[in-house]
Amino acid sequence: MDSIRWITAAKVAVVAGKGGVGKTTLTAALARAAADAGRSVLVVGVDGRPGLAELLGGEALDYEPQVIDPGGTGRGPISGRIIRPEAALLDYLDDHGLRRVAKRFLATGAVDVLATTTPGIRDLLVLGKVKQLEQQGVADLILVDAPAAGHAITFLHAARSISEVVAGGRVRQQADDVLELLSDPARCQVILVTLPEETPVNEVVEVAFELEDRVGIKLGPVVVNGCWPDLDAAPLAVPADLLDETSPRHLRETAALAATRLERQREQLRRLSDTLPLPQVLLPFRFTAGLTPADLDALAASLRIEPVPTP
Amino acid sequence: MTDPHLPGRAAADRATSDHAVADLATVLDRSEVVLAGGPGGVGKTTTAAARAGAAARRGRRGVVVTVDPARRLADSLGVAEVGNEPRLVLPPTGTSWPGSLSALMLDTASTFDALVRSQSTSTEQAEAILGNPMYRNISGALSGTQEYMAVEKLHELHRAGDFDLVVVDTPPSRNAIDLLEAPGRLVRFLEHPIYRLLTAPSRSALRAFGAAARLFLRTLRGIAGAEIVEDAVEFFQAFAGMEDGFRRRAADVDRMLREPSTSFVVVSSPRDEALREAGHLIGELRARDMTVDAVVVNLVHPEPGAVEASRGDHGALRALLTLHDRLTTLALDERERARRLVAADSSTIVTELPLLDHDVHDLDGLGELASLLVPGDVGTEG
Repeated sequence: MDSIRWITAAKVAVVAGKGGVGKTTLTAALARAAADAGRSVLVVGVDGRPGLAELLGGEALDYEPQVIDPGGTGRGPISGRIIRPEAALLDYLDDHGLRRVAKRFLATGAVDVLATTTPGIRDLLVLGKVKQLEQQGVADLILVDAPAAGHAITFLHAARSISEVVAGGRVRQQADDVLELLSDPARCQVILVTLPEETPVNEVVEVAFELEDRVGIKLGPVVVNGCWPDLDAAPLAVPADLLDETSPRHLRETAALAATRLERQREQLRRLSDTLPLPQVLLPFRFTAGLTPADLDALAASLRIEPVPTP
Repeated sequence: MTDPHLPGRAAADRATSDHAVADLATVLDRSEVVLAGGPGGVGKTTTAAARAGAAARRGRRGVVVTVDPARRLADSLGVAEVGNEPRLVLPPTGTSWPGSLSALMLDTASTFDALVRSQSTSTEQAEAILGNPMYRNISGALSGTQEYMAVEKLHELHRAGDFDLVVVDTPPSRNAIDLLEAPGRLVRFLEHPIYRLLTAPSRSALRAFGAAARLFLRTLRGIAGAEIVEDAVEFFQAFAGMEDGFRRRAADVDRMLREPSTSFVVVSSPRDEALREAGHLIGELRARDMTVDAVVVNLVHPEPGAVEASRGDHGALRALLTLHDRLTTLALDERERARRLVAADSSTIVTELPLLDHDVHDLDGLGELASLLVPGDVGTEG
């Protein structure tokens, strides 16, 4: 399947995964791919992690939406913002005719108390804002760079847990609305990202089942970042006698390293297919320690979906 | 049989300069508490366990407090289940160490329960708090609670004196600063104006807060739901009289974190996004007058040896040479970026750990990491 069909399968895509696996990179690559296909895109950061807008060639984001890339002929615009709970709460109160208490809420630090009385409220405020943006139709695609690690589950589970413990009031209403968004596959999908290594694979499988079972969320493909190019036909195919004859020890070491790395990668991808019946998208490893917008273009170009693996 | 020229080995030999070796060993020898912080996914837990292991090999009684370890690592440390008592980790078969290594997987909720019991003025007060729904929310889910309990446990282990060195792997939060500020947060929360409002003993006192306060409470009920506000009132009332105890405790913990025998180690990978987060953390720590004693840059690609091969025209050979060149560029790029992280302060010890060709999740793997961190302390044959 080409990239644009699965990336835009829902209006909102939440990119989730453990810290360090490439969530921000993937969010930026998805934005680039969708924009290149003519869609308008809003990228949303939820914490202070830097780098999202920079990867797309823009400046650091803030709460106010800003244009990262205006687009052009056949290319959609990309804008971005960070949604913080405090600011989202102010917006919410404002929208519901509570402008007068809004200031007081902030001045007294009532957000802290609300957050303590109702755990998950901060996450709910953020997702509530995302839901509002979705309903306003601010962009063809809203991409959310979810918080790292186990917090992704808490983040997406907040609406359900609040809905279960709070009997009434506006918080409950908001939770129900967000839950409706999260559990409607036409409106929202979660794209999980991982690495072709043992621990990240174990963890993504755990997160996937928790999200489906506990939150009732529709999972998009699982994206495996940092995959070495399959070198079957290239360096590993150097005939042994030629290698002996033409190259010193160090080159044989590189061949050995590549062989080990590819073997582990294949094993982990196989394990992932066996345990998680989701389509896989492989993102190539970039041989650099700091990605540039040019690397991002290459990553965006490779976002094709692989055939559904046999379970 | 080990080929000394395998890439991983060669890089390992270069990974730690003699200068760094002596210094990291010194940090482990003289510290009583080592805190580890850094971005997610860089091997914080694994390297924390390896540091405690290295200390055990140097004859110290070390304990590692982990917060959210990967399952296989937890299994191999014998802490697959949360539990608040340290468990002794036996050295890998065939080896022994002069010190000892223990491990503990933090149980946030029961650590908090113990803290409430120790600070409450009566059993009744403790039970009232422990049974309150809002308390259960706080102890189980409030952000920052995990960090708070990690330092609480650290403080308890440090004070009990059963261990020479307590290594704490911080929770996977973006900002390890949370760990330093967590003890003060509950105190600030208890001192919150709304707390006084909610615990106001009489109607007249409530009136003194004015109409705005009453409107505020009503709004809060309308938004959060009435039962939640009632829980909150009950919770705050139950806590009355305990603020002083919590404040003293927070001050104790803060003092411990600032003692010279407490070290801070920042762990990162050599990738740009991780280094930026690590750099941010180092800056925040320095802004609080905390010293970053060491930086561990983990998962560094080994630098391939130089190749002066004839660039033959065999297609596959050319592809191999290209791969070799790209790996060389990558390895140099990573080292250059890692160097820039601490250029501003050369007194910080920097230790590189190579990207290994296998995952580290058992005791042998931890032993390998420990000997890369502090070479020369090989466990004696048992």
